[in-house]
Amino acid sequence: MGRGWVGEMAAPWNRRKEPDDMGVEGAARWALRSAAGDLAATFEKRRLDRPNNGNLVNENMADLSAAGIVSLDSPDGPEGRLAESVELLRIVASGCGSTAFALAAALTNRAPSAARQEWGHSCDSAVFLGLAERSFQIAVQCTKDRSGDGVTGPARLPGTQFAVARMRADLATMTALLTRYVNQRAEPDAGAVSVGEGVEDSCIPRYYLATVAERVVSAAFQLTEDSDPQDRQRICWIWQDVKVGPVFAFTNDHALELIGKAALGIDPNDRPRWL
Amino acid sequence: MPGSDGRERIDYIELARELAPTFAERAARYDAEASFPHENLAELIRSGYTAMTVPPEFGGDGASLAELCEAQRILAAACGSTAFVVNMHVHGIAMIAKLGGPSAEWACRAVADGAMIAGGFSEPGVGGNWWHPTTRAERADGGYLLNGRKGFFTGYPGATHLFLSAATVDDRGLPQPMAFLLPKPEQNIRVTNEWDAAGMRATGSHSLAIENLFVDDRWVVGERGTLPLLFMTGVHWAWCSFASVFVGIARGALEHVVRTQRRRVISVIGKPNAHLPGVQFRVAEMAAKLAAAEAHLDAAVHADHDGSDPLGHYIDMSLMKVSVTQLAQEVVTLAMQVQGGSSFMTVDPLQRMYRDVVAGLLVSPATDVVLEWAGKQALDVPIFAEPRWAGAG
Repeated sequence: MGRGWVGEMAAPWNRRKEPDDMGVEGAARWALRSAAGDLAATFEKRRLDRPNNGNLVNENMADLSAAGIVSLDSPDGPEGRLAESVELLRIVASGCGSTAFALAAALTNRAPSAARQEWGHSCDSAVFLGLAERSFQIAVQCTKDRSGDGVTGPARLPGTQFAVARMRADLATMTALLTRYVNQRAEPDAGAVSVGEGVEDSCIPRYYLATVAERVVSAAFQLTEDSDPQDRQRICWIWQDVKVGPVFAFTNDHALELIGKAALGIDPNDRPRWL
Repeated sequence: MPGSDGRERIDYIELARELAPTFAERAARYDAEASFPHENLAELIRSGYTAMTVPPEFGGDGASLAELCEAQRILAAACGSTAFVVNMHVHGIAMIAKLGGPSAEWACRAVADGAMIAGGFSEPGVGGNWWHPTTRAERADGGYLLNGRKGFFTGYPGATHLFLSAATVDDRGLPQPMAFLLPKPEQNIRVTNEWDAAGMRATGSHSLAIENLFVDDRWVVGERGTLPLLFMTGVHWAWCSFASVFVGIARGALEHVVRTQRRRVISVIGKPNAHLPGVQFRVAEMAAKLAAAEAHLDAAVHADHDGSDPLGHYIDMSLMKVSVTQLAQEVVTLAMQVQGGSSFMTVDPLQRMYRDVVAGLLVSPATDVVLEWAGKQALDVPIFAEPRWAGAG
């Protein structure tokens, strides 16, 4: 399998260092990701400062638009644009999930019309991943902060270590799956599990990431039980975003129906829908 | 494409596809008898499959990790036991080849000529902590005298060579784990328990007693005491190869279920079961979990394996193996539920896959140790500090 459009396994917060020798296009990409990272930090602070302000998403979207993220383009064509969208959405989700889902909808609206639903699934999946990554980061930081003496704190407890490891494993699997499917669009022979056409295939990461993100965030919530109320509030928002965030409603049941029918060779357009 | 010796390079994925149907036919018999798949192994050796990871300079094709894993997935879907026996060999020789030096050269040339390696790193009472072997290696004139016990010595009945661990002690009396690769001895090593297990029944993973076994210096692999580091730097070969076997079983289970449910008609609905929503939803879950497992495995296969952090590399690869084998087991469990009561019958290969795939959760690396290390690393807790946990001091 070639190393395609999205090849990085590192989480967004570990990607801020400017890589060496990346060329003009790489520099532009890095600058945009860096801007997205700065904005994500701003969005998170805004939400903490003004928790009940219903206009935050509009305000955040205006900032993203001003940074050129909403009108993102790529010299690698539509597939390159999708890959870059996925990366940026992960980063933006670390600041505000609601904003990231709104951005996902905006970026999806600019997709080639035949591929819009697939783009939507990939973009939403990226937001789920970004939210799960952020919850992991907060939970780990809180645990470290509460383990100051390094001897008796929660970081030294086996249950905490196991939970963190399982979250880490889930994130690695989610990242690999999303990467695989975005690459698969650019390189159709990349070998991802395929059950049918593009839409059905794109339901696989959409379903898996939505489901596992909830598990990761739930674990993060458990780990921050005795943490600063503000940190706990951040996890609560992430959890809420995971549950109700996507702008385009697409249920897990719908995803399972499409994947299952495709795998079993049943046309999802057949009527009656069920026996 | 012809190699430097003019021989056409083997396409191992295609070869696995050619061999798989026959292996699938034999699998039920081997499983029922708990007999060793000698016929399969003979075909794998004869076809050159077992030499796939031997580097070209030693007469092999130097198959990549990606090629190995895909070929192994195909074999495992047909016969999990056969794939697991070969797994120990193909990744073992790849790791030995990576070491270079005289032991790598003779081992690789032997495998290119048809030798078969079985690996013995598990021991009773070690609990998956393979880097702490209790088998003793005492210095003797021109070599070492080995005494100890080995468990789960997969592939032993078909092996021509044994790759095993033992510990000597340094000047301070501290244990130094070592590795040996030697022609299978006819004396001083005996089977104490024939393999008779719930799953992976045809792997011949016998328990052994090693009693005053003299091992010549020339069979030592690597430098004394460096076994853990050597293993960590080459661990991608081991854990990706392990994981591919269990992903292959899961893939085989999904394919089997889809085939059956498209064909099977129950009178109440008058249509194939595939039209039932419950079947569709479970098959969808299987497909999603399988896709996740395959993606994680492939990401590990293509990861940077030459970094400067052997422990971090070991943990990433181990965490992958833990995740992937868990997902594979979930896929096959769902397959049983989709298939219903018929999957419980011995004529249905699913029940064998169900028993085989559980082994993925049990084989090295030990899940709890992986989770401990991965958790500690993420939390900046020293991995090897004592006491291991708060409240344990």
